[in-house]
Amino acid sequence: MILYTPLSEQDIFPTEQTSYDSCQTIQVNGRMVQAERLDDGSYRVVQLLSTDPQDYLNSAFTPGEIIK
Amino acid sequence: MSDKQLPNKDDQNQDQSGSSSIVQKIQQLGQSSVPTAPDSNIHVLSVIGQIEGHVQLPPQNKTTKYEHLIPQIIAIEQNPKIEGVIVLLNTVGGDVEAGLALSEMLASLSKPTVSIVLGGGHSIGVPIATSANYSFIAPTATMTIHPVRLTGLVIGVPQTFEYIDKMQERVIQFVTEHSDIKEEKFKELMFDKGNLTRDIGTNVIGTDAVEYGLIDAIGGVKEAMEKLNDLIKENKDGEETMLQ
Repeated sequence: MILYTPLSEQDIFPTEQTSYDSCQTIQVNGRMVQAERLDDGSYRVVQLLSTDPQDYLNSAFTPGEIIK
Repeated sequence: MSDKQLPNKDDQNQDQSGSSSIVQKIQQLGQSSVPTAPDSNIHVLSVIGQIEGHVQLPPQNKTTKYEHLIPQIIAIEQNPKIEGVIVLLNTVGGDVEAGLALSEMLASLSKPTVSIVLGGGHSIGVPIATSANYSFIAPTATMTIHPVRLTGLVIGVPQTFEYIDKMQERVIQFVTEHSDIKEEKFKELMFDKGNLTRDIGTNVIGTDAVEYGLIDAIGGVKEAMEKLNDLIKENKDGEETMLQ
């Protein structure tokens, strides 16, 4: 199916609310982390939101890390 | 026999758990160990993906949220240990008002700022790049300059057009005030035809951006760090003479 339209993709296929809800910004050890909530209640780090370059060397904040 | 076998089994188990944690680390991080270093006096503000403003984009989009960056800029201004800021830009643009807010915040920061455009600093990324004290662009990076536009449902009255026109005027004013480019040249690039596929505007490549005065110099991380350290030194010297 090809849709010829000036509308954006989201206007035609709205994103489900659940995908918005699973992505959250949480505080871990005083650092803001964007994390994805997993089924067992833990979080998986998506992105670290920090301006300190040294934080990015901390293995606890690397993307993919599981936060209990 | 069974007594001898037991410790062997334990060893194997330990080996397996040890190797599996390394495997897990490699899966999660793509590497097995990361180095640690002392506190940095330079902080990095990365503006990556779309600049997200009033409308929340679906989570599959890579975005930089301005409500995340603005408190970080305040924290940088307040923290006496932070002496300089590097702004890393690789953005396709996004919300004009959010972008302008970020630009104004960076421009009014009392600490030295240096920006680097890597890959792309398109659309509203242009004022953010120029807002720093000194700006660099990678030779292969590009910046798209085009008129302001709005998607979605708008009220069809002349005031809507005037609102967008004024918004565009603010972008032009900010860029011309914070860089060496002349207003005529910037407008010429903005309204040029034939450079973008079926669109108005220009895609300015690194070297051209420097030639037009939009960006201060060609460079990457090394040049940016050198320049920022110079600016920090100047800033410190200035403070010392003030105290004397």
